[in-house]
Amino acid sequence: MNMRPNNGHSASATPPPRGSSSSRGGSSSAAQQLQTTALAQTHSAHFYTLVRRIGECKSRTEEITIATKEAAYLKGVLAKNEATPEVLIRLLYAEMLGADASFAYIHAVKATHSSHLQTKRLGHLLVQLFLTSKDPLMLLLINTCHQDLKSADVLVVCAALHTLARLTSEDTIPAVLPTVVELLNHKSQLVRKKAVMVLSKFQKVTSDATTKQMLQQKFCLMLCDKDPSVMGASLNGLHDALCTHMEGEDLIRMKNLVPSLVSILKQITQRRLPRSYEYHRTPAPFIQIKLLKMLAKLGQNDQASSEHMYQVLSEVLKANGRQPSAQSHTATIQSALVFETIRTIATIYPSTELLTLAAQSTSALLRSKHRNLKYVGIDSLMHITRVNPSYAQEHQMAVVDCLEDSDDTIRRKTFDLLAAMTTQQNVEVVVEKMSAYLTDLNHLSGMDAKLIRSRILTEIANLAERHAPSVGWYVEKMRELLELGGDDVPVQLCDRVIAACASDDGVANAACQAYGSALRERGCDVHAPFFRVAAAVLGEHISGADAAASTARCLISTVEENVRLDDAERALVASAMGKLVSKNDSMAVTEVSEFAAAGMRSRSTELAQRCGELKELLHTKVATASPGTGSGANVAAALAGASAYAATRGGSTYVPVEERRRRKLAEAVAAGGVSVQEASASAPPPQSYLERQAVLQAAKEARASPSAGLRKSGAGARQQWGGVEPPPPPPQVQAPQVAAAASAAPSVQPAIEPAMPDERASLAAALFGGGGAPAPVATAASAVAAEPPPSPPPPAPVAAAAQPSPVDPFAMLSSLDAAPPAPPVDPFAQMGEMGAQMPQITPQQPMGGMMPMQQPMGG
Amino acid sequence: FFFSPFFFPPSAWLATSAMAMKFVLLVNKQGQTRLARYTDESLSVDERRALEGEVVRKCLARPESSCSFLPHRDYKVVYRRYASLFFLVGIDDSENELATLELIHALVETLDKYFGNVCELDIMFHIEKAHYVIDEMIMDGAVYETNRTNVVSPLQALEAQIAQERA
Repeated sequence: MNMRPNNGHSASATPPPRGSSSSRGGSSSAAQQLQTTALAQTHSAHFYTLVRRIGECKSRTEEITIATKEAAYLKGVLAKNEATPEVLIRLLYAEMLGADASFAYIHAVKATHSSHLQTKRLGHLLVQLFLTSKDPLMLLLINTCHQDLKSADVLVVCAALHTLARLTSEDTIPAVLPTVVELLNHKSQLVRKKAVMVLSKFQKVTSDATTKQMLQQKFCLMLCDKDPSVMGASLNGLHDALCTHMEGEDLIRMKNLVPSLVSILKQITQRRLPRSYEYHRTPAPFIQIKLLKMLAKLGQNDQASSEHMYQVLSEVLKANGRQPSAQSHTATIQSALVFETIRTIATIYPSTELLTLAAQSTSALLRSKHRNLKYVGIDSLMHITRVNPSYAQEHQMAVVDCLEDSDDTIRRKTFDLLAAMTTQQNVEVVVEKMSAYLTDLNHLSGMDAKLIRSRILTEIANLAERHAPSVGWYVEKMRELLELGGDDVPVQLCDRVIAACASDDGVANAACQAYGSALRERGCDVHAPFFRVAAAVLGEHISGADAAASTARCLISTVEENVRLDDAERALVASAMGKLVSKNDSMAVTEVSEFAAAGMRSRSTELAQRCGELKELLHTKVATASPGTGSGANVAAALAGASAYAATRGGSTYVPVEERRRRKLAEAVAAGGVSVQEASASAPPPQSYLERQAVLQAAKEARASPSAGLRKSGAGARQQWGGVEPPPPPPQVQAPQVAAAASAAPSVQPAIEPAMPDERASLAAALFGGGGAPAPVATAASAVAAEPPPSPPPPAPVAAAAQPSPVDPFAMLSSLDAAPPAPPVDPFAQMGEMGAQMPQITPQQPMGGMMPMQQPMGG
Repeated sequence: FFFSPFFFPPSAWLATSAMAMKFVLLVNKQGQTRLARYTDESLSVDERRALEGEVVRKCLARPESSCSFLPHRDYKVVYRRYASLFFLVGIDDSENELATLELIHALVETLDKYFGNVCELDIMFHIEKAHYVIDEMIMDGAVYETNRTNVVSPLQALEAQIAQERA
């Protein structure tokens, strides 16, 4: 049972005994000699050398070298001779260790055709390992399989069935389907059970409804097979069928199975199966688990079917519900059964009695010293709290302990649980804890760690958006998250933060302050994702001329000084400048134009294009600025000198525009054509707002065409632009019920030291809402849940803010690929959606909190 | 808003189909692969090797008392160590972790029955037979037979027939 230790590599020099017949007793050297002679008959010395060398490898490179050499050698051998069993096994090794053995695929297929059983069986094994179902060699292989299926030799039939179970594509099914179906009547149980497994694979692969239906009927028949193994195999097919969407007759056929499945489960728990099906004194646990999974699917949303199951489920719980303290195999497999039963109970139409039993079993699992049991305990708790949140109360301290567990898997599982039971009351603590965990992960590196971090970031952001107690908290938290996440912040998350700012003025203002001060204080340390969000938000939402100017300076200096930022971020700054310039006519044009000029020389087309647009915009602004304003006056003064110089050189004197108009008007009046009023009306109002707009519009149109081409050219570019567009307005942040939440929630300590018991208690209180006393919290929770939907008023300014501002120079560009706006999400709509996903929650439950549990289930 | 795969873990196990086991790996504590079986067709040979290396490194880094489950990429890896050899099974969300842990032990017990007190060397020298044992217990990622007698008897029949053929 316990595997013999290997004693390092020296032991591998001698081959071990072969097969089950050899005995391990007696003097080892004599036994080894015997075995060597026995082995010499089957494999050559070359094979043993190969295995020994693989065993002695010290590194991956060494392994690959051996495998590649071996593959090259075998290629030579196969060019001259047919594949022998030994060559096939050596091919298997070469491929497993990473050498390219594709030259041998055809030889593996050929081997399946061999008349020798050993070669044939090895051939079938190798094609399973080497080929995929889309391989062109499948055409050859399917023919061989078809012949093998008709063989009189059970072992040959089985070999072909194994290949079919692994390598089946939609095209190959019709060729072999009738033959496999016939095998369901084979006299050997071995063939029958494998045929059932192959058919369940067919069912998954095929898209033909008639075939599926036929197969399901066959599975139902095979459920009554006299051999328990065949019955167990047919459950796989039925379970797969239940995983797909079903309706009408098919669904009724499945629902009719409930009594049979229940009685099978009952018989298994009553130990009606032969002893050989027991695993550590537990009768057929893997069949039981499959049955429980099926019952969960059948009883979901179906009261009548569920009621059939209640009794057997409680029997399974009782049969396996002994103290899960000992770490024996019996205890583990029984806990696995308990865990599966709890999941089933939490999925089917709820029964108070069963849920109480399930909650007791969950407590036993959570209290266990063994982490494996604790892990499934957390999972179980997550399932039953979905039906009734009050069950979590009892386990506050256990959950808090798990949060501080040294085992990373347990901690992550606990965060899943917390995410499932987060409310507005405890969101601050939950988010705090998860952020702390994220900081703990900082020392990890590599792709995998990056993936984990970005997932956790998204998870935290989800919770913060859903349950934010106030706008200020939300904005501050998201800023912290973005800073904490560094380069691992996913693009979607950045976009969501920007979108949230666009959806609400309050959020936007708070965000502008938060990001502005963050950039000023530690602009040199921020990572690219944070800076992108900051640039987009500040550019879009900052208001006031002075603020715009200082923000522009801040953005430029940050992007120049921070080594983490490159041309992609400069391009974003350029577009932010465009927006800022439009908010402040007298802005520090020199700095911005220097930035634009530098950017235009860049090799990045993205940056050059944006800076070109910015420069164009600056020119337009200068040219159209009214004479009274700062920069315009400067220009006029400079030009006055130039015109005087030109006049001395014999040029005509400069006549201001106003003067020219007046003269033109006078000429017209003198000609007697039009009245003064008419003439002045036909002339454009000097430097009016509208005129400036028209000029801007023309400039925009001129830009629109080249940019559109650029846009089409690269998806990457689009992604980056995504950061600066006026984003779609999904008002994900709830209208804050700040007052209610703040008064209901106990005071929250932002940083909680894990060690002190008092602080653990306060953490528990913060998480679960009440200082260890479940009752008031339960009512609080239900009160919150029962409150009428606090329709977050989507105020008019939100819509206005979501639209591109009228002077946005890039509005036209942005509108090209602006995402469709997401529908507003309010907390109760979310609950509704959760209900749709977990439809076992009856409609009144999310609203009524614990109520349905206390009512009889009769109605 | 709901794109996060982790956001609704409980419903995930209801939705997925029954190809629960994605791979079965036997890797020793030096990180050398001794046996690899994949149900997942999406991985290339190189990706498989990379996955094996990463997972074993992670398992080795975990202390003895940690739990036997490890989230890795999109899989949940259930592992168990026997002497120098790690048995690793990659499962999806629908699978029962504890049951998979015991399935590994059922596999080891069956190998034990077949080889007689199995060790790493047995598997190295008879790798094809170890594959046959897995074939008899797991098909297309689903466990279909754990009755040791039923698993071993066809393998013994195969051996007998091969011996007869050779004679």
